[in-house]
Amino acid sequence: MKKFIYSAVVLAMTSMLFGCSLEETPLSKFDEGEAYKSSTLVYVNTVASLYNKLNSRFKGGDDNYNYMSEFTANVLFLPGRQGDWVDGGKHQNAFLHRWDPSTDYIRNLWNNSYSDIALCNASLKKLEEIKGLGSLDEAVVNSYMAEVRGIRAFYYMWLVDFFGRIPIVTSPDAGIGDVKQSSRSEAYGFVRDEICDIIPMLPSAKSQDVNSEYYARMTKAVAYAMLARLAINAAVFSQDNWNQGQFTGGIAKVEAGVTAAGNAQKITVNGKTMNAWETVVYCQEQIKAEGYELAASFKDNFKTGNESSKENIFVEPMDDNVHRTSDTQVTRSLHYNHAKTIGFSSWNGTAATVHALKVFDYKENLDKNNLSNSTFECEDPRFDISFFNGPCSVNGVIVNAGVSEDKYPEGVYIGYEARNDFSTDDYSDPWGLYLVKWAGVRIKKYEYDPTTSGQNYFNADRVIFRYADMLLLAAEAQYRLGNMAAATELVNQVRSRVGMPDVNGVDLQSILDEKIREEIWETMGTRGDMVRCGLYTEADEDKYVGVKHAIVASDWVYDATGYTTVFPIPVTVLSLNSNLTQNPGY
Amino acid sequence: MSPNGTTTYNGATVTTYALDSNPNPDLKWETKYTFDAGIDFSMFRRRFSGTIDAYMSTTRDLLYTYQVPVPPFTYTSLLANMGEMSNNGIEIGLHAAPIETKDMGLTLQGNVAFQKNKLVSLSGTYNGQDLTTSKYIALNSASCNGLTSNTNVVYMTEGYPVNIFRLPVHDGFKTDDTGKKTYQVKDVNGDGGITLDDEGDREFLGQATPKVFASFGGTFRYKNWDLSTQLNGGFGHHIYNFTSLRLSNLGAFPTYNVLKSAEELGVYNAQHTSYWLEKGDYVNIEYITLGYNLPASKLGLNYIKGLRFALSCNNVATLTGYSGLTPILNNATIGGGIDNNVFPIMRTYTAMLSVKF
Repeated sequence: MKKFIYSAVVLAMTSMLFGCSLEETPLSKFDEGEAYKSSTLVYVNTVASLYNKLNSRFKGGDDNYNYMSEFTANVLFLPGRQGDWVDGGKHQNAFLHRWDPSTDYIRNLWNNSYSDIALCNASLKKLEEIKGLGSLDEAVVNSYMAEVRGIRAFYYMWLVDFFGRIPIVTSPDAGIGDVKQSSRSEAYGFVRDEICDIIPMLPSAKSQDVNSEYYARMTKAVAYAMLARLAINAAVFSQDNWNQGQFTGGIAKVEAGVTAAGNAQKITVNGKTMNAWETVVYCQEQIKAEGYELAASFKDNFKTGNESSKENIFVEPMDDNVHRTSDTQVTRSLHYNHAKTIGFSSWNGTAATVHALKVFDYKENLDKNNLSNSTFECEDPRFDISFFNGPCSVNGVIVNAGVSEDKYPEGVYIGYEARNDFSTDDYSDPWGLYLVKWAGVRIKKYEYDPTTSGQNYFNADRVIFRYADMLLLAAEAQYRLGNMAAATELVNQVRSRVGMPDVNGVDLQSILDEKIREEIWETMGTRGDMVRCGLYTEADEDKYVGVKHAIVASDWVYDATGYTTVFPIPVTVLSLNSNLTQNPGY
Repeated sequence: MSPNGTTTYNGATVTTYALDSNPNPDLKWETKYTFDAGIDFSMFRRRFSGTIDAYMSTTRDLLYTYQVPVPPFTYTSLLANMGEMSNNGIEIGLHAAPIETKDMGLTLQGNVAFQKNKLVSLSGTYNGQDLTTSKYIALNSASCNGLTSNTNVVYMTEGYPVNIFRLPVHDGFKTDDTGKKTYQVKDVNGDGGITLDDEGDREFLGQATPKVFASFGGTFRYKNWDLSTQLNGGFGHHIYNFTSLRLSNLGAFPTYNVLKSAEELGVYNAQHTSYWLEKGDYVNIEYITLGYNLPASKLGLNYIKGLRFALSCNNVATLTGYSGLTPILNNATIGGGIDNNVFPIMRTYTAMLSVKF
């Protein structure tokens, strides 16, 4: 063999350390010190920024208060329309109360709420520091602090409602070990005391008025509305046990127990101690004394430029310019062709339940052979204002939204054919195929504003609290207190404003029905109303054992204990903090 | 802080600012320790040469975005350095020229890289608080119509390579009275029910990043002709065929399209299961080029020094057992390994004429 060269060489041992400055000054962000330089900036960055957070939590996709409250109740649902909106059965399961600790919207709602609460706590600490510096009028700082506590109480009220046993965190410096779960009654007590405490410190101003300094902010009236909402549910929130049938089985079964539990509650506001039901009535009277009343026209509360309403108490400000928050609720609801008539696009989802239509006594006479001969009537004028029903229309004018190639060329919403799922239907029948896309009346209520820059931007503020809601809460409270005449009178105030005939008497069912007619899809209280009246766990026209459901969804199962009246603590929360335990039943 | 909206103050529009992430004042750079040993050699008058390299590398103070509990944190993630990761491997490169005469030549070269990656630890202490990560950290998910419950597919977890598949285990199909099939998965943890959480009924089923990368190239020359080729391959990994999963759901038909094979399969839902996990081994023929050099002397032209004609085919073929369109995907990147509508690289043909002046 030839000569060969062998060379073996390299041995290297390196140990490297890199280092350089971590200072960065991104242009999209700025230093915290800059954010509190003047009194304006103190308000803007400790208080106003919190409202902007709060306003993004009400409506939109599915991890918000509206979805958790209304789409799990009995008035609205997102039907599986063949391939659309099935999404693994998510929305159908929400309606059928099929959720678990890993359900995404439940986790997101928890995280978002506590994230905003942490910002409230940070603002309170910052305001305390600013007060110590003495550079701002102490009374002004105190009123800011009352406002921030009001916002925080608002979040905690939802959390007590949804999750029952929640940790109360009030300091931005809390560590993981400081986060301990309160019982539901303790958490409720915290919210109650916070609201009662701040009421005297809040201004008597009009929160719904765009020209007011307190536009879309916490005022006395807003805090009273919060307290009314808390007090009406106090009989539920104050119970550490909720899964022994206390809130299941219908009105007749739970009414007496809930009324007694409300009677047993003591709430002290403005130095006056009352039981839960008396507190609701008191709050309604105080709101009236703050200058709120029913608007002459129901519709005016939802029109473009509804800031002048004397009825809206707290609103999510919305305009195409300053408060440019997107609201996809209507977009999620309308049929594609309907929105297309004014150049927008929509997703053909949300519809009213059959139960809601029956409550309205909606009459639908279909002529399947010629849909334009069909009639769609409802005596209650609130129905037409709340829903797009029958032929598609835009601001009252019928538009051509049909599909020419269909056997049924008209664009007509078929209300009573709405159901939770169409995805397992047989589509060989053209009528069946039509229903998949056109069943269910759709969301309207707020004036449709074709002049905005985008479909999801409106010029009508979204109502959070409204005086009519306070009247109906007071009606229930009066009924629970045994004052039948007062209860009936309150319901009739609401009815006569829309020209509906007076009723001679009321009970819990008729008050709940009136709330649906008055407030459908506008409030976020239907879930609470149903739990309190023992209806949340009950079967109805739209959900029952054996209900049609997508192959990926599950059947509705009757919950006799009531554990589903509270959502599970998200699994990610439990895995990251071993102090917390799961709610019973999950 | 960053802008989170606008408001009106004294009639003027003002932008509001809010904290937009959890602060961490202790943030620092990661530290990397590397040990490397190698041998370079050549023999037979440099007709055969090669290099062998072995390395061990450890990264400490690994930066990672931790999931933290809200409350007490403001947001769900915190960037902190606490983890440790190791990368060990051997790389071998060989070059040979067995034939080298005036009229004929053959050179061959190949290299192969074995690599082993392991996430040693991630947990640690931040500000006196133990920060444990979720045991199974999802790196990538895939979702489609009809599939929303826990869509995670690729994970990392302490003691395992980064980019590991953790999936529900296929257990045949369930057929309902109408003959429609749905996926069935194993009760891995034996608790009597099926939960698809990260911790639930799932198993580690192989890594997404190839354990071995190899390449081979050769050039053969005969008189004025030459032929060269290059092959690359990846071995020892898996690919999640999500494209087929998504397009095999008859339940979404006809709103969404399905594969022709879906009818035979007859499945009416979509669900992540190991049914769609396949071996990803592949060899790709990158190119084959045939060239002919015309010497200047034969042309008899002074101003042209040489002419070369060549025909080349790129991405000639991929040899693989994988059933999807292509096994060549982003499987070396964090969170890679999911075939979700990956389009194969195109085969191209090139004819070349080069003139040397």
